[in-house]
This record gives sequence, C-alpha cells and structure tokens, in this order.
Amino acid sequence: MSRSPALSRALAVLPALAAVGMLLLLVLPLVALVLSTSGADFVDGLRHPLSVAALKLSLLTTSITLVLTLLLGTPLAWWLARHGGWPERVLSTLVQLPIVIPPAVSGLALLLAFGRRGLLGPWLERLGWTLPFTTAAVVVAELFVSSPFFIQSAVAAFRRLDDELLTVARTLGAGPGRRFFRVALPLSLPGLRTGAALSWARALGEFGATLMFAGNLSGRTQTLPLAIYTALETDLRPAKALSLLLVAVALAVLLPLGHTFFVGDLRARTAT
Amino acid sequence: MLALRLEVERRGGFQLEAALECVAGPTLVLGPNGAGKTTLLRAILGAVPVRDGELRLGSRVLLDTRGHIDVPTEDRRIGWVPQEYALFPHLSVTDNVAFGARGEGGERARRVQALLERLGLAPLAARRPSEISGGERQKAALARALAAEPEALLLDEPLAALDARTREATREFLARMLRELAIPSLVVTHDVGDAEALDAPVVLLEQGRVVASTPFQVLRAEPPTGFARDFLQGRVKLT
Repeated sequence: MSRSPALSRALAVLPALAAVGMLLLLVLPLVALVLSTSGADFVDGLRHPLSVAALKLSLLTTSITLVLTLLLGTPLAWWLARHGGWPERVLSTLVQLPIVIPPAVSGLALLLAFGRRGLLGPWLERLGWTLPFTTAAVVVAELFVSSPFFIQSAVAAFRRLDDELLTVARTLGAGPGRRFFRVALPLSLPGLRTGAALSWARALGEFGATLMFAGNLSGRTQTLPLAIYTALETDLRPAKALSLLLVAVALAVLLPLGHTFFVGDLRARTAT
Repeated sequence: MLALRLEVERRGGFQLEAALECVAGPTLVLGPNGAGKTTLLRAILGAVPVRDGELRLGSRVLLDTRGHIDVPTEDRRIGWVPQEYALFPHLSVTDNVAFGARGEGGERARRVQALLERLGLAPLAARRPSEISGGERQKAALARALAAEPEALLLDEPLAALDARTREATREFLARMLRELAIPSLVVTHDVGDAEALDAPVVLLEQGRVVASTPFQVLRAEPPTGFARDFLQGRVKLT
C-alpha cells in the first residue's frame, strides 16, 4: 500500500496527540487545584471548623475501618487463598463486587440491609441500635467499599506462598497457628501492606455510600469528602484545602509503592 | 524401624503400592521419574491422602486406614529434606534450624548451636538462605530437620541441586551422617554416585510398584530391570 510521505508523517503523529490529550485530561484538574490554592487559602481552609471536624472524624473512622479490615479480612483471605473449587469462585466474586458497583448502589444496599426497615433493622432495634446516620454507619460504609481491596491483595499474597514451606513447617511440628504467624504472615507482608494502604485510601475517599447510609452531619458523619462537597456551597477555601490534603495523602500512599505501580498490577506487585 | 504398606491414589489415575520395612540407617529409593518416589515420601509424611494402608514407626502407629488412625504430619516426628530444601527465606540459618528444635530455653539454644557446629554451619549462623551456597543450604536443611529430633528422616534428591564438585564433597559427609544417625532414613536419588557412597539397601520403584528390594551390591551385580541397568551406568538424569 503506498501513501504519500506527507500523509504518513501526519498519521504517525496521531498516537502522540492522543497520548498527550489523555495526559492533559488526567493532569490538568490536579494542576488547577494546586494553582488555585494559595498558601493562605490552604492554612485558613484547614483551620475552618468544618475542616477540623471532618479531619478528626475521617481519621477516627478510617482507623477503625482499617483495624476491622485487617482482623476480619485476613482469615477470609487465607481461606480463599487456600481453597479452590466453585465455592471459592463464588465467594471471591461476591467479595470483589463492592469494588465494581457504584457507591450509590452500595449506599442503598446498606440501607436496605441495616436500615430501620431493612433486613436486619428490626433485630438491631431490639438490641437498641440504629445504624443509619451514625458514626458507626460511616465505618460500615467504609468497610463495605474498601475491605475488598485488602482482601484481593491478601489473597494474591497468600496464593504466592510456596506450599513446600508450609509442609516443611508441619514436619517440624508446627500447628496451623505457628505455620500462619511464623511462616505465612511474614512472607506475605509486602502484599498485605499494599492491600492495607490501598484499602485505607479507598475508605478515606468514600463519598456516595457514606452520604446515603450515614448522612452528612458535621462531627458525626461528615467525613473529608462530604465536607468538601458541603463547603462548595459556602466557602471554597476549606474545599480546596481539604482537596489538596487528600491529593497529598493519595500521593503519599502511591509513591512508596513504586513509580511503575498500577492498581491493576496488584497481583504482580504483591509477589514476594 | 519404619514399616509400611501403602496404596496411594495419584493424579492421573496412577496408583502407588508399596510395602517396606526399613531398619536404622540409610535406605536408597531409586526409580525413573514418575515412578512414585516423591509420592511415597509425601505419603509417609502424611502430606498426601492414603487410600489404604498402615504405617508404623518404632512402637507408634502413625497410620491405619482400617483402624481410622491418621496421625497428623506435625505429630509424626518424621524429618524431611525436600528437593529444593525449602529453607525459610525470611529467617537466618540459626532461626531456620531452631524452628522445630525440641527442648526449652537455654538447653534448646545449646542444642541448636551444637548442631550448627557439627554440620559446619556456625560461621554462617546469622546469614539468610539466599546468602549461602547450595552445599551450605543442604546442610542447613538437614540441620533443621535433625533439630526436631525426628524418629525417621526422608531426603528427596538431597544433592540434586548441587554442582558436581560440591556434590562429591557433600555426598561423603551425608553418607557418614546418615550412617551415624540411629534412625531409618530414606534417600531418593537418581545419581549412581550417591548410591555407591551410601551403599545401602535399595528399594527400586517403577510405575508405582516396588520391583526390587535388595542391598545395593546385589542390585549392582544383577540389575533386575532396564532402568536399573541404565542407572548403574550413570545414564539416568533428573528431568
């Protein structure tokens, strides 16, 4: 097929243009955020009562969420990693669903499960608990959307373990506890750490499900993302300051994971 | 003494049927690839399900399928040195050896230290497995198994991962060690040099069955199968 050299040259430029276009789209908004926030804006914004309340709340809820994720997610991840067959496949799919479904859907689903007229509503009421629109609800929402990231990472890390090491440990008299804590866990630590970092970051950024299930009450359920959204209508400074803060946090989480890190690369990155 | 009669169902429908009695000291397990040697070792350890059979070690019954006895691997007191040694990569040589070591506190530490010295590993005590040579790793894996004071020892191709020179040096050392230990030890190998150094009773496994159970010298004088002949002429390679 013959083309004029001019046409060939023109066509060769297209992929480069496409790449640059994509890059601009991805980078421009963040650059705009940085450029439109002066140092004074940032400091005043962080000192705003809205910000202080949201910072404290987010820190509290995401910490609790992280601890619960690690405590409850690790045994589940271990089971999934060590078993195969259709039960594992079904459970693995279910466990990863919250990653893919829209946060608004998660919020609604949580209401339907734990709300006053939801599936577990009557039982919870009998125990004297109402979940929706409480700080506990924030933790539940964050747990729902973020723990699958940890579990995914943990399963990949546990799967990479050399079975031979665990068998040898058995011949040396190690029961399941020793095998897990002295062999499996130390060797899976990099993958677990990555998973914990990602799930924590995800919990920190959760908006839709929190809004629907926990509401937007300052000091009680208004997390950082919700505060940003609320601030838009009144004072842009806390909105910009908190946004910059969250971007900084995101950077702090991604940078240690390596400059070639891509979230989809999770399996490869969690190889020990 | 290690006495067993085992029927093991393997992947691909292949069956392993073996009945052995091994006294203290080394026993060679020879056979072509796929004959079932590793399966046999793993069955003795309790790491693969046994369809039917019994396993006795000394006065203890470790397995009796008909009597519903199946002692879990962690309680069988059978040491294992797998093919690639499977040293714990995140632990030092000392911590590897001490992992299953018996005893308490100071006495335990002393025993571990004595073992390290006996196997010439003392200077490497603080190193990680990735920082020591193949021959040293082999010794570390052996020390680790011995620290748990096993009543029997299984070694799967203990010298296969070593280069020819290290292999020869370690071979003599291993043969001596196994003879000194007063416990039954099964050594799987594909190398006739190993067999000659150990000069022990041979169990010849082919296609999942024991086709011969004789002293090495007898096997050498009258190889019963084509594989045995090839093996004695050094024509067998690990694939």
